[in-house]
Amino acid sequence: MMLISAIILIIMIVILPLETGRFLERFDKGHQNDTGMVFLSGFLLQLVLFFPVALGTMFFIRQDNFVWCTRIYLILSCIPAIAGAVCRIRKLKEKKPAAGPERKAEVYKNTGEEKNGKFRDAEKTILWAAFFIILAYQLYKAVTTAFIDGDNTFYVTQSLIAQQQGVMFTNLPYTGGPTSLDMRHALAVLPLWFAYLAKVSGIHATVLCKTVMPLFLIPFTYLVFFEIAKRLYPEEKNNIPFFLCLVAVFEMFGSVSIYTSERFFLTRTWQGKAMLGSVVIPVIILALLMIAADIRDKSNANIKTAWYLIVSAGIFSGICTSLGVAFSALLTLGGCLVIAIRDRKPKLFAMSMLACIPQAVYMVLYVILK
Amino acid sequence: MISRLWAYLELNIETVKNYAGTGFLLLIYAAAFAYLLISEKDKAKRVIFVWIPGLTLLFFFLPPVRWMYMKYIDGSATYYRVLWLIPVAMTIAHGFTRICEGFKLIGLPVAVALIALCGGDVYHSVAGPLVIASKAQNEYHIPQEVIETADIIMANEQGHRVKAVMPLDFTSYIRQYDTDLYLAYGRELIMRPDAYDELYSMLCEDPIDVEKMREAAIPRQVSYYVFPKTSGFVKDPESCGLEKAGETKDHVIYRDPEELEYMSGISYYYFTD
Repeated sequence: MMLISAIILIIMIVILPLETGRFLERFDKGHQNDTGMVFLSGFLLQLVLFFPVALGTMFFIRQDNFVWCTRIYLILSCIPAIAGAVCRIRKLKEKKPAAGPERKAEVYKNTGEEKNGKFRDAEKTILWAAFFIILAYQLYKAVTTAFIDGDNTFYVTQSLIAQQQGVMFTNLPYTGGPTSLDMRHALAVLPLWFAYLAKVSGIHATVLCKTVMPLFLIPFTYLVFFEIAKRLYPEEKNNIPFFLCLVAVFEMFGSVSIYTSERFFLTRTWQGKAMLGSVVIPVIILALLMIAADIRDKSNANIKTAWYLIVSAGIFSGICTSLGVAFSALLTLGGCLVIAIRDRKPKLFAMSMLACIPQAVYMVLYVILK
Repeated sequence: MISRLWAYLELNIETVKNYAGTGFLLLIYAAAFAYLLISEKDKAKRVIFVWIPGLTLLFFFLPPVRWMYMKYIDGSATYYRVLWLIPVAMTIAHGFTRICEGFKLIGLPVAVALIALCGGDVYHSVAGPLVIASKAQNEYHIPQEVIETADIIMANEQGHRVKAVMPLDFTSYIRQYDTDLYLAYGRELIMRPDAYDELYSMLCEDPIDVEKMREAAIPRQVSYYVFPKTSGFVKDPESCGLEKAGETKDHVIYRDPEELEYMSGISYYYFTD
């Protein structure tokens, strides 16, 4: 039974996003064979699709609305994934699998001499090994450590209510019993996404949130940092694991107060506010880095993906927490304003305003409903 | 006007102080930021590590921004989250990566040691006097006593929804295990210092007057009572009409067979109460 649950969960949070990413890849050829970016894009789309389904069923279906939400989203989430799988099969049939982008040898800037040698290989192996040891330790601690946090009484219980009682935000989490729709939290549907995963996989929502999901969400966060590192150090690949090691160590030792995003990341990984700090904000920074790099290199290689990331991360921020839309919009507008002024590209700022339309709609909806 | 602006600025400084804890990691960040401000020549990286954080910090400290945030976005004390927009971890990591360019294998342990010495270990986190991390007792990451209590109640009621009175520390967890268990009071008693609940105050009395408590509990549809084993009673609970449903290591669970009431399973979508 546990094995079946694990397989279902892997399909839901690994296979479906990956295949969805393959589908998205068709619209932007710039990131072909970049599996990390494909997965990140697919994962964001899967979550973004959940948003209208959850809200639609929440507002328009009276009884057992979560059951309907589960059914509709299960079908909807499979559509882009199946499309992605079909695209991939066609591609494989059409031609032999591509050998990937031609590997360019790393060279020293000053001499043009090729970087290689046993020392560099050993260094790379040691640094990657160090990173994976730190990651494994964090995953081990995530499973074996219980963190006291009162907010779980709200968020985790909401997930469990949806799983066990089939309703969304209409049952009092602290004491039980029916209530009016909780408008303050209704738009931040992340607990319902966990409830969906729990329902489909048959895993108790509390176990899923606290023990299982960190095993996915922690590596996922480092995938975002890996994508950032790849763009920071395109010419010195050994810097990537070095950078990741330090970020991972900082996440472990960043708990200097109860307020830091690092503390949120490792002690309440499954909560929307933690995901805002550890996933949404880094994704937007990654997108801004891609835009700034494109302008620097006078190319358009990353621009589509960057805007896609900004828009989907903006919607995802609202899925995480109502407050998140303000932060994601602020970072997007502020970042684009800096680049626009610096590089004299006013159009970029106008684009960023368009990209923040989802957050604006969300805020209006929030004010009306509240 | 100026005094109000100054008050907001002081609040902002206080927020940064609270956020930074001992302040040593902030110093490392400030050093990394200054280093990148001077040495980072790549235009794209400067945007991420210098201009955006610089602008965010400036924005954070402006008193009107805090005023607007508290008025229009969130009145509660969440302004510190604006600081999350500053990529502190990435800036420090990037700073060290540049410094240790030619000697990474020596640089890594040095950088790790510096971060570890200046930072706070998340796995030994505290919140005031409270140690927030402990070894998980089960896969639910909730105390085993709570699970045993819920199991005893639900085994008796075959999955019917019942309402219970129990110690406050149980109320934060028990509905994370089973939402068919309703509570007479919950976490709101912890969150609001002025909150009062008659049943909870009776549970805190020593000795507990079970007869009086039952009288107050029946109109609220309470069918189960969880008492700490250390509690004293005015009269034995069983002589007050309760029957013992079971016990855990530190608690005794009583059931009210005469007034047993199953809670409604209806949980429709309501716009208004």
